[in-house]
Amino acid sequence: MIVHFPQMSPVFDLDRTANEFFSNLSRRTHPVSDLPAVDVAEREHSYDLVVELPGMKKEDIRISVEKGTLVVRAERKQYGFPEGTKVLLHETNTRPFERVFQLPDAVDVNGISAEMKDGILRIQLPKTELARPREIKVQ
Amino acid sequence: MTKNNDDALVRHGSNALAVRESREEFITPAADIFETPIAFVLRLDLPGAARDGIQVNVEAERLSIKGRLEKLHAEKTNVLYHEIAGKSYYRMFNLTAGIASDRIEAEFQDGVLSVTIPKSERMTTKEIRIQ
Repeated sequence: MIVHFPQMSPVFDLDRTANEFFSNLSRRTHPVSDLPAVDVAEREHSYDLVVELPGMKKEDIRISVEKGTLVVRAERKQYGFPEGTKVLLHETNTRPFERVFQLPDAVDVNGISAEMKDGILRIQLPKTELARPREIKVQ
Repeated sequence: MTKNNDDALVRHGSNALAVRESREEFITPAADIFETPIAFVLRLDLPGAARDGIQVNVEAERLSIKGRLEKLHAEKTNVLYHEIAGKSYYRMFNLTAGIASDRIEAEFQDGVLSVTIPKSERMTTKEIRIQ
């Protein structure tokens, strides 16, 4: 009899885990330059997703898990200025955006947490018990 | 108003105010510039900048802004995907005539640096009511 352990494969194949995370990284609903920059890092017990969102507060950001993907949606509020204000230069991006990340199987979706500080959104995706490194002692 | 001042204002009105200085190790942050009746307001995106590392300098009619990024990842982290570029921010702007450079104020909030550059008294817009 053959026993399958499909959940365990990412543990044995790090590159595959990385690919799972990045394949179909984003449905690019806007030109590339409109999307905020992202870093993805792996730690012993979690993945970290870091997104640059200058000028945004936590109320401007929606994060959800949808069909095995993590979706980040945000919109930057326009500044309020007194009447008679002239715009001399406008480079910052205020269009709403959406970025979609394929979640690897090794993520515990119930444990996902996020925090916002100085325009940087940090989403922590804990690994499932099975995906965490463990040392097995020889008896 | 002298011819020189006039030119300065014309330049100001166009995007030429913003001088992008290309230094490879620096990111040139995106900027917005607004003009209100009493001041110019400059806003720069500096996401993740270390608060104590932000420098706003005025020298010889040039305003320069420097910042460095707070460390993004902890030790023992394997970065799998990397888009957030650089370690420092730098951008320089030419100041037009008619600015009160001794009263420039800066504030950093939500990763955005706001610099308020008041106009000198004679450059402000005032409405004079007919009595």
